[in-house]
Amino acid sequence: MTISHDQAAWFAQTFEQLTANIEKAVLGKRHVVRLALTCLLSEGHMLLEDFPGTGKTMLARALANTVQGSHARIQFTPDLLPSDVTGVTVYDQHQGSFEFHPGPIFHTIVLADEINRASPKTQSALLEVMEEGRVTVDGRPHEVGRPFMVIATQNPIEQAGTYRLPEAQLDRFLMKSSVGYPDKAATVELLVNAKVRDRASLVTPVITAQTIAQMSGLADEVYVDPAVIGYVAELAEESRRQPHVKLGLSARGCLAFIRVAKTWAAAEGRDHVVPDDVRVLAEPVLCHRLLLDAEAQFTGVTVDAVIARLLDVVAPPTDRQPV
Amino acid sequence: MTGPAVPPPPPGTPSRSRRSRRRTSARAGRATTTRRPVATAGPGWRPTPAALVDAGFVLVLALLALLGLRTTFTGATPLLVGLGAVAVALLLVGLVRALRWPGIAAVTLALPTWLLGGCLVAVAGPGAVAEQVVGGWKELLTTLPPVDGSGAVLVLPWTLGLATGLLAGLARDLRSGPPWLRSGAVLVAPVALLAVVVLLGVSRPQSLWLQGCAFAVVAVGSVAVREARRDRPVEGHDAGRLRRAVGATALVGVAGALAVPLTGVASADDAGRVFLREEVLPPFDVGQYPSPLASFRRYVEEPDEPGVQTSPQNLWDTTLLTVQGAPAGTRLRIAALDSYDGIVWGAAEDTDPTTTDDAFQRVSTTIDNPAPGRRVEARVTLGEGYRGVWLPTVGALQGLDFDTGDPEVKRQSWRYNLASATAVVPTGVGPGDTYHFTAVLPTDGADVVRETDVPSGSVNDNVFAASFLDTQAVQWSAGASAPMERVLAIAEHLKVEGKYSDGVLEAERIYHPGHHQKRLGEEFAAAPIPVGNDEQYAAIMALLATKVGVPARVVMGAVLPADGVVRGKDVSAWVELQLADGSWRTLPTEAFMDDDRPAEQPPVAEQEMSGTVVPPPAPIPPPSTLADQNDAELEARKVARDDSDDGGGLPGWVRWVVLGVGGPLLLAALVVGTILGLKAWRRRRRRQAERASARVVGGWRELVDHARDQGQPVPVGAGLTRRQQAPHVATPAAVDLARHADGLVFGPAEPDDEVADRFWALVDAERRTMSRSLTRPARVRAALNLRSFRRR
Repeated sequence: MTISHDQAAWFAQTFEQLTANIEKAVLGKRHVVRLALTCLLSEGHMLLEDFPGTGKTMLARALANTVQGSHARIQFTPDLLPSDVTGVTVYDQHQGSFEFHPGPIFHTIVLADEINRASPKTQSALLEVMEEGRVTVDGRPHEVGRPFMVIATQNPIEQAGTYRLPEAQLDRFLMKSSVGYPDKAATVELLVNAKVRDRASLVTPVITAQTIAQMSGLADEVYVDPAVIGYVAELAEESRRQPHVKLGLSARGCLAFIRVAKTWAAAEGRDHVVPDDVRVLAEPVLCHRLLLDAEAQFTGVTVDAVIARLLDVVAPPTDRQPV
Repeated sequence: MTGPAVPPPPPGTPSRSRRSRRRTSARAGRATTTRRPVATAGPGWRPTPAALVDAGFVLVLALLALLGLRTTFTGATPLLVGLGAVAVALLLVGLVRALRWPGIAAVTLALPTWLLGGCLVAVAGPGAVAEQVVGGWKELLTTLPPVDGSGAVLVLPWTLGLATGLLAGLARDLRSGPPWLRSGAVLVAPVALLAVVVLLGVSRPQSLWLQGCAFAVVAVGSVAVREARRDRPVEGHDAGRLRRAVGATALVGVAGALAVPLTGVASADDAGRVFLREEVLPPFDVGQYPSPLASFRRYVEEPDEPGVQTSPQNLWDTTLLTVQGAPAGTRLRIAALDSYDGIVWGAAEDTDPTTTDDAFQRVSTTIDNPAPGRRVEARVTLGEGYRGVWLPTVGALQGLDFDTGDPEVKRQSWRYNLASATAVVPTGVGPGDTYHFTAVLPTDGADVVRETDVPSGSVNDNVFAASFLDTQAVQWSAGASAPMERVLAIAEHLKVEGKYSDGVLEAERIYHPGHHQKRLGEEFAAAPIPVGNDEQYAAIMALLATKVGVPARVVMGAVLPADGVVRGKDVSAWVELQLADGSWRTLPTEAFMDDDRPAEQPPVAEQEMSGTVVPPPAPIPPPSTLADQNDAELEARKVARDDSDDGGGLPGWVRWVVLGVGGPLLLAALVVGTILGLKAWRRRRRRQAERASARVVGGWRELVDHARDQGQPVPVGAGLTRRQQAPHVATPAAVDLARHADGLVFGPAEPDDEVADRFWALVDAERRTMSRSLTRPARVRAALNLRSFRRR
């Protein structure tokens, strides 16, 4: 069953309501806000990479606040242990048994701040929960519940004492984006309301976790024509053929691509995906999944340039796939 | 707190999208195309094997068609030029295809290529090439084949070949229409070439049957190969096979139907065949030249009487020409006069209703003129006494070429009449000119008429002109019944009763020159004793023969003396009679004229009638009798003839106005028509695409092209979507239309015909709105703008 026009309209209306709510805290960043919401409704995780003070944490907190559910913030440091994230099993002398104490990961929205400062061992503690939505401690699995979203941030310039995220970890993130500096108007508005120390506190919950789950289900029913699917597949193939690309788009990346395209289309009030959705989402979906070789750094080839080239080389379909 | 106003679909319901993903996962990607990076790959320069095979078929078909030109031209050069032009055109189309330019680009490139190639093959300037392609066809059709296959005439096979290759190459790229029609579309141009070659051909082509059969076989082979190349249908094998079989059978039928009439297999002879040469009459009027018979007295002996001054124009003892190579006794033909208008026997065309060859046609150095007899090669040198337009020859000419006296000009202008076996050089010939020819002479005596010969039953206008001789025709042939017997009886009567006089002696000045009705009637036939010389005798003999039912004509010429030197005294006039088989037999001068001189005194009867010796009134000479040809007059006629001949009867200035104004106008109309036609064809192809979604896609493209033609900077290219283009289309509805099109194309439901029609209605309305916002000149510019044919 395909999502109906009424359902799509409701989806777009709700999506717009959520966007407006988050924009109370994050000024002038509508596109990033929509991307973050798309990520949430696609049941994916988001990696925000930007310079300090651009509002990464603000966005994560605002997103967490807009959903009626629990949220936690984990400040990743080099001495952070995996158990500090997932939780520990403690022996209860009174009960005479081991009791599991859930870590901060057991919340609806988890903000993993400066994730690249933690050791690889701690980073990898997130692998299972991000992919499967559960944590295994001492051989016992513990579900984190739905919805569940990890918003991680990292700083691209302070590399000392950091640990680069492994490719497997990066692939777990549905999207990677940056917030960027606010424009002049947004900056002025920010300064005018400087007395508000914590803008994220302005964001109040407007949607329940259950509704989020229902919206995710609706997004899954958006129609994708085989021609558009073929377009994504062609992009993936071509990404592996591009010069200076050591690692192209994976099958998991393709699935993610289709998933976010569906949500994005529903957010636009459509019951179908168009090639433009794929093109708009190409950068946040692909940028952390393409790994360039060492020569690319010397020749000045960037991931953004490769993505632009991909979109130029692979022609989008103009017609549907003949039956 | 916001909750879901619309409940989500029940879990576990199989969605269409999932089914579609499973079903189409294998063929996903077919709808997308990959454009190679510019740095790593360019256009597809290497032709595909299929393209090479199609080009090979076109070349072979063109070769088979052009083979028909070997009887139209001499040599193989025209064939090679035509074939080369086909190859050049195919290369042009291939180049345009490799560059992914629209087909109109091939046509545009072909124009300078045609001009450049035309200049090369014709070794002439662009003006001559353009003039040749306009007037060369007429010249070719009015020149007796085979035409010399060199020079400017090569522009014609070059043009034919280029057009054929271009059309065949473009037809290969057809994407609309039934598949079987697309398979056969490549054949259209070669078949048209074959038809043109046949139309330009001669009445007795060689190996036409073989040529036609080979053409049909190769054509069917071409279609079969293209049919076999088509993709097999995924489903319905039997239906597809049956459809292809029916299509192939239909194509074979069409090829056969084309080949049979074209090759003349159905008819044993060429009676039913159509060739333009038969239909086109050259704009040449031999009747404008004076009759040489009217000035016959230039060749008679003038008396050497004291006090009598001889005419400086008298040619009695002057050498007219010298013939080498022809045996003595051969009849040298100067002019055949087959039309009598009551004043003079003159040369005319198309007086013989039994043949189409009765016309003075342009000829090259070789003449297609089969005739039985003895083949001779002769050389003629014109002497000081011969000047005029008539070119003396013997027998049935097989070929002639000029040696001196501006031979190139004469070669281009001379004409030959197959029916009368006489030739003219409109620019004139004169003393010192030499030429040589090959001719077939009749065997001895075979060309002289006999009493048993059966005359032709055809009648011409000369019968009416001879009505003043009704009485003589009956009286002089009394006792004979059959037409030929009556002719010979009349000849015998003339020979016995008539006397010979050139009318130059003092006592014989009453016998006037000329052969108008008064001279032949009152002064000859009705006179007590018919008196005259060759002029009067041949003229009245031909008229009387015509009157009794035997078509006749007067021939002026000479019987070659032993030394081959023809002087004025050798010139005579005889009569030729047409037989039932269409051939002509000679009635020699001796058969109807004796050399008995009349009495020195005038006949008594005439004295009695007049009572006194009254000098006869000077006859009103016909215009031609005044025409002792002199240089000035001939030159004047030549100028007049040049105007009328080249212009096809139109004054020169009219011709230049037509060429100068009409040509550019025609070219402009052609260009405008081509552009509008291509746009209409493109719109129709988009609107009538097989699938409804493709029609929607075409509707959007039509809107974008309309905007681009209006000068709007709408980007196009394979990497752009409709939503990316829409903001650049200067109409508020464009964005909505793009979204609407996307919804129809990529939406869950396949659009139907009605939906596609509604979308086209929206597009048409938007196009009209966009056009209304422009001024009229801007609308015209937009209609003719070629920008929408460019990909970028």
